[in-house]
Amino acid sequence: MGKEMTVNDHTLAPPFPPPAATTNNTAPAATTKSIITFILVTTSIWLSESILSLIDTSTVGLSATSINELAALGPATMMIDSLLYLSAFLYTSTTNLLASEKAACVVTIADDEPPPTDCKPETSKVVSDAIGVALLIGAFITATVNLFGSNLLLFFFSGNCGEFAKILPSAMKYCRIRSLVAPLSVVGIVAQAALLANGNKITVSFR
Amino acid sequence: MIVGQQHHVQSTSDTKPITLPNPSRSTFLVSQPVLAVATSALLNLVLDLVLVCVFKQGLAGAAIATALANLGSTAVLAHRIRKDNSSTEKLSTIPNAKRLVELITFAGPIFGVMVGKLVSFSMLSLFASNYGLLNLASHNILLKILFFFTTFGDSLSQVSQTYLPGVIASNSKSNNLSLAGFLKISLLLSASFGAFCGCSSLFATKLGRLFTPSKAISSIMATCSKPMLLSLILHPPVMLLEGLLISQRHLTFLLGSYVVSFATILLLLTNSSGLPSIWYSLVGFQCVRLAQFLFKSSPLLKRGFNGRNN
Repeated sequence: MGKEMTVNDHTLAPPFPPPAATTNNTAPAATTKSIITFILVTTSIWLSESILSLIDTSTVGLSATSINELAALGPATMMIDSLLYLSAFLYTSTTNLLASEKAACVVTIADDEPPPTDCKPETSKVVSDAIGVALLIGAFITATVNLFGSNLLLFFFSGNCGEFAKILPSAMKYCRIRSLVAPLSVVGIVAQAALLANGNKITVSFR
Repeated sequence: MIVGQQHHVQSTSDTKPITLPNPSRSTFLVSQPVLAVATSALLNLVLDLVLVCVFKQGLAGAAIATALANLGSTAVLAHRIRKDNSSTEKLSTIPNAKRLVELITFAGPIFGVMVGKLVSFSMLSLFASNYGLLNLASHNILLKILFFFTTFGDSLSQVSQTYLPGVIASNSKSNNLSLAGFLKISLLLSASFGAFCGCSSLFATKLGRLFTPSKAISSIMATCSKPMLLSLILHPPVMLLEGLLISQRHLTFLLGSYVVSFATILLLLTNSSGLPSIWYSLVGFQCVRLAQFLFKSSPLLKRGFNGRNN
């Protein structure tokens, strides 16, 4: 494989990527408009998470049968969200590895040089690998919450032991339910990063 | 030319770079996200109302609602990824040894950086709890205001990570901004966000009664308005520079800088007295981060403003 092969040389061509995969291998164009749009989108995504948290708090606050449930919501959400936050390093890694691979394709094609092998549709290996790791990390979070959740909750609770005993059952119930979908939640974090790095700002906003 | 790349080459044969955005993706870039965010919030609200208010499932109902909302969003995202990728490829794979090393080499320091941030902000709360419940309650509200406004700065880090590699790689034929143009727009945005967030927080901290009926808490919050203002003014440029460093893979430096920043905030906190001085410790943390990131980014900034992309 090298420069001697022509553009129209189909004889050794592997299965040709569909058009969607082709556009998917391009880096998003850096224009003033696209940058401002990107900022609007990412900011709205992250602000929406705060809004969702507020909705949870207000519905529980308005309908809770005991004050313990409302008191349990704080440390419970803090624990599960902190665990999910720590897995967000995959978000940064996916964005950067994908952006770098796409930039390599831009250099190659702009300079009429042979593209590196990573320019093939296999670029999506970055995403599928990250999703695989995300599933494992999510499963680890599920196991951690179910095995050591009550000990971990102590770190996020600033009251005394008597108060902690009162909120523990409700808080653990909340954490166990959220932890069940942790593998898919972490997958969502990776998928969001991948789509943003691809310049797809519409789908990610559903998160 | 390597086979399998024909479509790229053909589409760029008229010297148009491949960085042209797909028009079908650009059509609703502004209206769709707003609509989508509203849709997901509405879904969570409906599930919360049904499970918590109607079926009286309490906290468990809220957890189920959030979990189902997470599942729904992941399904939409995964579907899109699946649609974009070749149909022969698996959605998830376990990386081979080479790819795992590549991922860990990058992800390891980033994980360290995130732990550094988490621990530094936790320290603020830990020290705030030394000053009684009123101060702690005020501190919690102040943190919520801070994290709301830091979202704007955080997006600048994401912009750097997503666009900088392509900007550096692109040539004069490209429709990408030049490095100088990219840096100018990023710096302008960071200054604008800093001014907007800082000033808004000034109003928020002065208007504590919007968050609490307690006059005591409101007055404590007002005493922290200046350090809050300074922290938020500094946050967007800090995040912009952090994004530039991440995209240039200065990961070891970044990790080391968080050790220094953490040591600084710890030193400042141990010498603090009262809630305002705890918040001034955060200003110190921001200043130390800014100085370090500026030092490491200066070659890139000089290169950009000298008109060179590479």
